[in-house]
Amino acid sequence: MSNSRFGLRVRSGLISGIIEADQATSFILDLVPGASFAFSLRLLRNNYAGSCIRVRRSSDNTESDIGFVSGSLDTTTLISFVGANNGFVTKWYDQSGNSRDVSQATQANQPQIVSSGALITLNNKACISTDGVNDNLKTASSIPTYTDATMIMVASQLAGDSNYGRFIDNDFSTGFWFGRDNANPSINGGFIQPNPPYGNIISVANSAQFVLFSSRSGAVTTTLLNNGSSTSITTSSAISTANVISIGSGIANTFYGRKYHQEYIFYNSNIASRSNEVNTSINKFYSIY
Amino acid sequence: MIKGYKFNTELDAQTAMVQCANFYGLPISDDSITIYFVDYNYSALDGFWYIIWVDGCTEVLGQPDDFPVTFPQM
Repeated sequence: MSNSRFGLRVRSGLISGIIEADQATSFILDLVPGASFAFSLRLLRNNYAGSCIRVRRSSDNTESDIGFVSGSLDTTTLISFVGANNGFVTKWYDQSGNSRDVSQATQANQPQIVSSGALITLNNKACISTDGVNDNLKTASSIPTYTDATMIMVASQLAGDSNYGRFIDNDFSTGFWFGRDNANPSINGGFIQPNPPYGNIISVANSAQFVLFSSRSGAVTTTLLNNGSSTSITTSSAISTANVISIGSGIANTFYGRKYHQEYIFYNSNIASRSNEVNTSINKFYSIY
Repeated sequence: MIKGYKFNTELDAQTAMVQCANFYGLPISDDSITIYFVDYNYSALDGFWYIIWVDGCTEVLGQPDDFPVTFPQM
């Protein structure tokens, strides 16, 4: 893995220090520490020294860890490794420090990141594609229960997706879920919502990249789309149980989602007071809105 | 409708899954995350196990069938 994290190679004294300090403070997990899990195709923490993803190439099924360069997925190394073939994600590494990596041991169910030698992208940045048929990535064990919580995600849902097809799932009635709602089309989801409508419904066009910031305080879940361009609020007093995480489907291998995935960060706490900082930092990188 | 293979027992589904993995030489090394070629699912509402067809299954498991699977509702 490359140790190079910053695009500018100025190494002379003060200017170098200023640049690196600015980069470091823009990492989400440095702005708001304490995430329960954090998956992204960019670096989320200045001191994170692990890889970003593990990729299998279709030519010979060899796998390789891919790291970061200039704070983003090292796409040069990725494309060089995969060649003119397809590349599939076998593991997405958790940058939180809690080792809650998600993985997929079955070849046919692995999400794709390179297609015929070309990087799959959303708004000109790398993304992981799940097919809505059988693709997902899961944790090996359950995450802890929670009362207050926050989910931050950068993703897109595609035409042809099924109703309730998941971005990410921890069980809709005893954990969190975020997926499609066929109305409009829309995104639906939230925390511990066993009864219809199961969460906060916000309209988002197919293929549109978005950042969703959803937080639960007590029984109230508030979801902001693109830093508040749309807002939805629901109430549920149900409590959570310990479940695994699944990206691209429900945890029981149902509700497969046809999605593009770029970032999921989850806190066992309500960080709504930091939503503007977090959304601004995300938008600085992704240019979503 | 699902295009794939139905099994009356979990053991039959597991055997088919292992046959596919062996046919394609998986896993290719000790540090491979990838262990299987296809996975099987259980339809609790229908009472059977099934494998969804993907390209490469036919060589191992033969021609697939089309059959309904009842998925749980939210």
